[in-house]
Amino acid sequence: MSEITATPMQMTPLAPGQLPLHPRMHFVWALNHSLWFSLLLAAVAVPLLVRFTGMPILAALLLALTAGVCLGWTYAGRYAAHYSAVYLADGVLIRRGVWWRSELFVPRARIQHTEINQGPLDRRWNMAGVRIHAAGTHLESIPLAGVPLAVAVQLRDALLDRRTHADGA
Amino acid sequence: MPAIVLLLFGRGEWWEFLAIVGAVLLALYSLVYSFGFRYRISNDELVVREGIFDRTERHIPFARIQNIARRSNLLHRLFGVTELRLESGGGTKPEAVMKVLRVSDAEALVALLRASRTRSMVDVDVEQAATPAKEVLLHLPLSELVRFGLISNRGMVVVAGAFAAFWQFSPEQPKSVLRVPINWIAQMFGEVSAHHFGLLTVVGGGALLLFLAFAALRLLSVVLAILGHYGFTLEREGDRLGAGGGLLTHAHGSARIDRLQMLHVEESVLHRLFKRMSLKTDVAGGARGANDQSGKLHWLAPIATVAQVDTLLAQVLAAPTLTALLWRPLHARAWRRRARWSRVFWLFASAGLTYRFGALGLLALIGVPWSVWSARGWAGFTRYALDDRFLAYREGWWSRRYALIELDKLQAVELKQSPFDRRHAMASIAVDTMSADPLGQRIDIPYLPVAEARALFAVLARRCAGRV
Repeated sequence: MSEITATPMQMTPLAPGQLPLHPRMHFVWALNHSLWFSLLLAAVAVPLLVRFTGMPILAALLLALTAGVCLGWTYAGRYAAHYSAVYLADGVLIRRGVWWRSELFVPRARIQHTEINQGPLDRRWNMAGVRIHAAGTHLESIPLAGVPLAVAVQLRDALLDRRTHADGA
Repeated sequence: MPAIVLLLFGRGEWWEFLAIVGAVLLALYSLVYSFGFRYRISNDELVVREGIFDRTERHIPFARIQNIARRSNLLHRLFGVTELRLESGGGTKPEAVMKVLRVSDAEALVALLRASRTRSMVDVDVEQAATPAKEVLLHLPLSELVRFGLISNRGMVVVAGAFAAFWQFSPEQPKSVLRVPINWIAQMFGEVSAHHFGLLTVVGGGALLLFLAFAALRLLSVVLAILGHYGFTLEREGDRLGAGGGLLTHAHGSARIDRLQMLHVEESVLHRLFKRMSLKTDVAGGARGANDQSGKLHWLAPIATVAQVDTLLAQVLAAPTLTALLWRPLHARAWRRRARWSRVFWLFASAGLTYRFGALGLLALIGVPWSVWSARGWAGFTRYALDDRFLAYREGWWSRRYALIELDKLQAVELKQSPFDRRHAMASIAVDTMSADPLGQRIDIPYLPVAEARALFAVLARRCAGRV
């Protein structure tokens, strides 16, 4: 099993600024939201359609799937438009949410450890997710959506503060 | 093994076969998963890799590991392995769990982690050897404990718990439990009607009975308070705080002052009736729920006068008094939004009740002015304060609470906007702190004007990142 690292050429320190989003991430979000919307519609709308309009189940399911994919794709577009992750010299600032929006700042000094996560598709596309673990109570684990692998590795190294007692404990 | 037994002696039902397949797959999965688990030690951090298809690589700096716990059950000991948990200062879960580790490897890792700890981590032993003078900050006499008992009403909780337990374990059908007091009352009323008492006597007697039950509960609360906190003393010894008391079992907790996190002040209606408050603290260290909480400091003052709380805040943290803080109000229309949902609820409730019971249902409309009144009261008291060292928040109406946190102890800052917030140009600010009760109260300041919220967010972010 290979270790998650980038090639040496890419290992320059990360400059503060907006973290790039991997182009495939939009597709992943769309797929994800389409699935949820389709499931929701299949559970709620299909029984109603079949009961009150007498539509055949298969047609109703197909309709739910189509509507779910349309909704999911639109929602993913809105989500991507409102999502941003910025690496600052002293922390990370994450904006996310479509209806309920949130802006979250986690200082570098407060980060306990970081995780890089890669699924099979991520490996194929050279993409990775970074998860930040802070010492707080309600926000102890903060995910950063798909970034190019090289950036994820740079970010991991840039975010770890190795001084003792820097976390306010 | 169970799979083989099933295969030999099962009656060949299809679900048994499915169960076998499931069990084998599960065993295979954990076997394969364990192949994917690797750890590596670099000069100042531990790297843990997990997963086969979904791979995760975790980097944990040594400086962040505060607590190491080793655990072996019978199976572990049989195979000469052990489980190791590495915990950091905060969070609710350990940073890393190594379920099966050779004992020699575990010992080597623990030794390495111990060696890498810097002198600042070795706090307890060195400082206690010096034994600085003890200074008593607060001592609760019996009279205060009586007040604490009257306010806390722990007796009610205990009785409710006992009743629930009795209900649960009663060998008779559960309803018989309820039947006992009902029979009593019926019997009494039977006697009452037999003796032809006047209405006044009956009402008076009922009131007396209720009063007696209430008094008994309060008495129980007082007894519990005395048992739990008898001789409660808060004292400072150098840079450590210690507090404890109790009649039968003496509970004592202590912590270094710089490890105190959020301070909570509570002021319920009963507190205010007695002109008292209570003061609690969160203390950093150890994942919550992972290690025992017995030695942890919790109460700074179960009950104290307002002046005593102010003195304690000044003595322990050099904090300004609660009244001296510059309290800032929420958005001028905060009360409207606070009242909105309960107003809607009461209108619908009234409509429903009227439909069902006629004009009597209109009585529920009283809820509408009530919700406006209580929302105005809430918005009138709820405020936040920010000075150069502290963030404070207070909220409530009849029952009030205060929360106070040092700015350099903030872990994260969040600015949130719901769709309703956006329509009213408002936002809320929440901060996260270490070792708080996940279900307990936190600082989450709602209904701020959006510009003010942005400014506050910028200041808090700057301060918790250590930029001054």
